[in-house]
Amino acid sequence: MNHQTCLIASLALAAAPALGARGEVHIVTSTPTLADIARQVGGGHVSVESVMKGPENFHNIIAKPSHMMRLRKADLFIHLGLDAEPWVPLIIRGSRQGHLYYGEPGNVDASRGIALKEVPARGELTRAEGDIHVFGNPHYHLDPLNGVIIARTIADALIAADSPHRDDYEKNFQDFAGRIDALTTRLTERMRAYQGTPIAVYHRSWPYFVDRFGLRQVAEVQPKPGIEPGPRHLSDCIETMERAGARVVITETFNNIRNAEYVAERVGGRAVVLAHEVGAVPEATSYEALVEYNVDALIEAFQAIGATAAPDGSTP
Amino acid sequence: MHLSAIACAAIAAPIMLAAPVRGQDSPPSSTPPTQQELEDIRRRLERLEAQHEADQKRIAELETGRSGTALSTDELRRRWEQSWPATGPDASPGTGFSPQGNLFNPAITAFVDFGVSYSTNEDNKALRRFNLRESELDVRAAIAPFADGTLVIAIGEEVETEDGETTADIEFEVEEAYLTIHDLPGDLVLRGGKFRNSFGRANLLHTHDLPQATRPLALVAFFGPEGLATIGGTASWLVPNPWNQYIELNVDVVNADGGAESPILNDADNDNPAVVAHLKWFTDVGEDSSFELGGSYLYGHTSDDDDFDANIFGIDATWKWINPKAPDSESLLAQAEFFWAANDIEDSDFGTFRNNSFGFYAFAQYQWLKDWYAGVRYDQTEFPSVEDHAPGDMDWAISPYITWYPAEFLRLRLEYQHRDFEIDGVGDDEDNILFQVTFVIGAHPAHPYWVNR
Repeated sequence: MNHQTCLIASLALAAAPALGARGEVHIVTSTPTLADIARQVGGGHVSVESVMKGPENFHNIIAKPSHMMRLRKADLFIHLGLDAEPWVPLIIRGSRQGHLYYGEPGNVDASRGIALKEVPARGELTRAEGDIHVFGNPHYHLDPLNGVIIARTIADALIAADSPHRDDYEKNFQDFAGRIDALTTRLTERMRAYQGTPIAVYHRSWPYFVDRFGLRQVAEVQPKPGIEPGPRHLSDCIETMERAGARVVITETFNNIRNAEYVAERVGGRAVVLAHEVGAVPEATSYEALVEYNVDALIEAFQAIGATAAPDGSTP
Repeated sequence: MHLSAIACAAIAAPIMLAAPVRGQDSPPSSTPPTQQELEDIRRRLERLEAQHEADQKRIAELETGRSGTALSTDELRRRWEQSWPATGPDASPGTGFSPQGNLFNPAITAFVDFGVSYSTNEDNKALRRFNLRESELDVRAAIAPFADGTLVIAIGEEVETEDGETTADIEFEVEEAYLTIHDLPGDLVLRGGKFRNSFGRANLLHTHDLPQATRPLALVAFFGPEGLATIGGTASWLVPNPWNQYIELNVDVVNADGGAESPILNDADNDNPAVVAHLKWFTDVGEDSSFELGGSYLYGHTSDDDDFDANIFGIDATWKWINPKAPDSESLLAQAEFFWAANDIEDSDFGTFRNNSFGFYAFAQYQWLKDWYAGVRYDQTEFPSVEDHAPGDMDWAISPYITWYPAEFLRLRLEYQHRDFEIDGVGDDEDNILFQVTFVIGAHPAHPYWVNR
């Protein structure tokens, strides 16, 4: 028994990256949302920085040497996994830090345990479908309950890297999960009036959010993910929205707002810029603030155009 | 230990064998239980009930996660899917595995780069036709936990005019074939094989990765139409520094024959290796910009005579700004690269002498929408080789261009070039228009930062 404990302890020690002289775990994340969750789970025992800034698009970051330098100081590198961030393998390799390579304990894949949506069938894996994602839609962090699964993954990685503070990480995680539970319950209640409301999105970033809060996505401004719309698709999109009674277009900070506004104007509705990341809009100061801002902004848009629940009372 | 185990077994065996036999022998009791026995049974039932209740409570706690103990990711997910069912029709569990783009088969990418061009110069047959330019097959995969392999095969069209006769041939070439070893002490990365050598910025780029439709004139004059990519080894080292800046030193030791088309180092008889070194410094400037400064040096021999040195120096600088409010759709890029060669030359027309030649290019490129870029490049160069040129010959060109990406893997580019050149001291000029189509098939890896859209 004692031998076993010793062996496990020494294995754990060997696997865990040596913590810096600061005695805290230094975490680098790919996105600011992951950074905020890591900060909440890590509490006072971690220092955290994000490679990406809030308004940026995680599909299109350029892997710069300065990013690689940041990773050189990291005990843990947390990223969205899947094929969301094509630049991530480059900065991991560029950092020349073996403990951050895929499969190593310092490399934390936040997609672990997430129920992925829009996983393409093998026959759909073609560029004719635009910039599709091989493993499923990677914008999973926009469902707050997935935020809790991400937090659990981060807590596990922190416990493995810094077991003396296990209890603190566990408590921080439980607190975070409790806050998100309460927030989600409250926001779901607020969105109940708009169950089944049809909406359009600019890019296919919102299925997790849309499903969580009972909305119904009926159109996309981009004809295929990553492909900018031409006039013909814009008019198709308008027609689809009119037929479905959708009058709100959800977009992100980095998309062409003029296209979104044009479509919204033509259906007598509104384009609303939601926060795709912590820091994407000034109000999204934390993960909870991001979720709350998105629901607030959407409800405000619904109220402004006088939308109510779907006329036939259908839910998605 | 050994003995006691045998003793235990010896004692246990007869008891185990005896037990069922004894049970069968004893007849079922028919006498009613005493008050005392009933009381015992009642107590035992109560105890079991209490235990069962506690167990049920514990199970409920675990199921709802209110116990304060850790829940596994799977448990969490089950719980939430029950309380707030995911409404998407196609929800399926994540694998938690981040792909590298292949399942043991390598990542295979094909690049096709073709176009059509027109030149006012009737002798420039290569630019007065449809061009296949260059297609590339790029195959790469991990070889071992510490090693990666890369193979790039180029299939290009060579249009040549000799003695008034023009020929167009398809040529195959191993453009790159190298092994990278990346887990070495001191954060060293080693590479061996054939690869694009570490001289400056533009030399690293494959034809289809160039920000313009043509290679910079200076690069062609100094290293040949495809740039410098010879066979050998290279080491890359991150230079530790107190400012925590990215400073990288590359040192290549390669064959001193740059191939038949290299103006210098073109002698395969030469058994002296050439050394190419590049030192670069990259830094962020404020929140929105980055700057890179590099210095390059090549030392080799222009012939198989050790006394004929090739020395080429280079300086490169790149500045990039990305609008923080529209990071996908507005950026500005400026890059310049200077070349200076001091080569010993022996020539039947010009004798033996040291040929000092200078060249540079500079371009600026602006992106104003997600998929639209426009820029202009200025080129000026002398010639380190006197094969087709007299010392002092100079070319210059100005090339505005516009680039559109209808999709991530399809690019169209239109470039106009006004070029003024001297051949053996005789000056001329030409106006060229190039239309370029580039597309990518397959598993395209992300571009390193030094490839600009």
